Amino acid sequence: MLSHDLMDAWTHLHSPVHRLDARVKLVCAVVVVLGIVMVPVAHNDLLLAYATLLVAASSLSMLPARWILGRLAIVAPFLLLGTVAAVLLPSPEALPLWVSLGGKCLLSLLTAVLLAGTTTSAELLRGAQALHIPRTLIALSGFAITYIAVLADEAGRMITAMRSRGRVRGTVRRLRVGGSLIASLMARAAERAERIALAMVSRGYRGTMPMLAQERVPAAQWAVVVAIAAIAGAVAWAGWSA
Amino acid sequence: MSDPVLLEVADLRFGWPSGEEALRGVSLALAEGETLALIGRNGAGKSTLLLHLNGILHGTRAVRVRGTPVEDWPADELRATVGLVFEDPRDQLFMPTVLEDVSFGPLNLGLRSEQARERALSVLAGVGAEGLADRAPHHLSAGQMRRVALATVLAMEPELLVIDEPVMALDPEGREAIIALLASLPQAKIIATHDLALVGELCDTVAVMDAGRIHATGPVGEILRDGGLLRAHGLRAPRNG
Ligand SMILES: Nc1ncnc2c1ncn2[C@@H]1O[C@H](COP(=O)(O)OP(=O)(O)O)[C@@H](O)[C@H]1O
Ligand SMILES: [Mg+2]
Repeated sequence: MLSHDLMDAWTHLHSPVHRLDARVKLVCAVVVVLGIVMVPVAHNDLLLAYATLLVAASSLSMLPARWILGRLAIVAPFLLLGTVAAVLLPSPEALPLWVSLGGKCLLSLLTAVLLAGTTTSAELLRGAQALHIPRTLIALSGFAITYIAVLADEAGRMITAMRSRGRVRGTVRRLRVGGSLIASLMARAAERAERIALAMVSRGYRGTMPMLAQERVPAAQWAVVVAIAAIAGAVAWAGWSA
Repeated sequence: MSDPVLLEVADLRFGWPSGEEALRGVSLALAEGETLALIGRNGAGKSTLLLHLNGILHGTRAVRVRGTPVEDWPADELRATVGLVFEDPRDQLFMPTVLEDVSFGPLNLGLRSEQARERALSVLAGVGAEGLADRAPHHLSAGQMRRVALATVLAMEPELLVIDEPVMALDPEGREAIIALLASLPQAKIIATHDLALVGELCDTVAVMDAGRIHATGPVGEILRDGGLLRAHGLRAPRNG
C-alpha cells in the first residue's frame, strides 16, 4: 500500500529506540531540538556533539541509512543553494552563519526523522495527548493521518487504473488527466469525510473527542530523558559560559 | 414496559437535497430478537433507509423505536439502542488504533476510561480480533476491518444491530466467518444486502426493496423461493436455497 510507504514504514522494527515510550521520545526530541537551536554561532563546533548523539541514535535505531538519507534529502536543494551563496558572499560572517543555520536545520530534521521512523503515528498522537497538547489538535492530526493514508491508497488505486489503460501521451493531455485525477480524488475525499462524520455521530460523538487514559511510563525510561537533558545542558553551558 | 415491537417504520418518505427521491413511502416492523433482511438492487434505497433507523436522517416522525419516534429520543440513548454498521469499514474506523476506535462509542456514552478499555477488549475478543487492539485500523485486511467495524458498534451494546452490506468485498472464507459471527450475535438485526445466500443463512424475514419502496415482505423461505419476484427486482435466487 502506498500509505504504508508514506507513514509507519519502519516503525515495526524492534530496536532500543523503537522500544522507548513515545512520550519519552517526544520529550527527548523537544530537548534536543531546543538544544540545537540554542547553540551560538560562535560555537558551531558544538553542533558536532548533537551530530554524534543523533548518528549514534540512528545506528541504534536500525533504521536503514538509505531511508534516513532519503528523508533528509528534502533540504538538499536549500543547503546547496545556501552553501554556494555563503562561499560567494564577500562578508566574513556569512560562512559561519550559514554553517549554523544549515547545520541546525539538518540536525533538527534528523531528530524528527528518527522520532517518526521509530514511533507509529498512533503512539505519537497518544504521546502528544499525554504531554497535554490540546485534544482538538490531536484529533485533527489523527484524522489528517488516517485521511492521508486512505487518500494515498485511493490515489494509488486510481493511478494504477489509469496506467493499466495505457500510457498517456503528450504534456497537455497528461496535465489534463492529472487535473481530473486530482478533482475526482477531492470529490471522493469530501464524500468520505461526510460518511465518516455520520459514522462518528452514529457512535455518540457530540463535539468532544473522547480519549482513553494511558499507562505510566516505566521509570527507567525517564533515565534516558535525564541523560539527554544532561548532554544538552553541558553543551549549552559550553556554548554560553565562554 | 417494553414493547414487543422493537422498530416500526410507517410511510417513510425522503428525498436527498440533490433531488433524488430515495424513499417513497417505506413501512416495516421488526420484533424483539428478529433478523430482517433488506434486499434489493443497487440504488434501491437500502442505505438511505438504514440512515433513518438511528436518527442520523430524521424529521418525519415516521420511525419509531420501542414506540417512541426517533425525534423524541435523547440522541445518545438512541445511538446506544440502535447500532449502525456502515457499508465501507474505512468510513467506520477513524481513530489511530483499533482499541481507541472501539472505545470511542463507550467513552461517548460516559463510561470511564478503564471500563471503556475493558469493554473494548472483551468485544474485540468476541469478534475474534483480540490481537488487533494496537494496530492502526487503516492497515488491516478487509476481513479484519469488518470485524473491527462490527466491534465498534457492539461496544455500545445496542439492542438492534443495523448492518449495511456486511460481506461486501470479502473473500469466501472471510464472508463465511462474518456470517458465522453475525449468526452468533443474539441482538435483533436488520441486514441490507443483495447476497441472498447470506439471507438464507441468517434471516427470519425478508423485505424486497426497489426504487424507494418495499414491494414484498415475508418469511425467508417464501421470498427466496419466489424466483419471479426476485428477478423483477434485479435479484437472483441462490442456487442452493
Ligand atoms: N449522500 C447522498 N446524496 C445524494 N443522493 C444519494 C446519497 N446517497 C444515496 N443517494 C441516492 O439515493 C438513492 C438510493 O441510494 P442508496 O440508499 O445508497 O441505495 P442502496 O443502498 O440500496 O444501493 C440512489 O439513487 C442514490 O443515488
Ligand atoms: Mg447501499
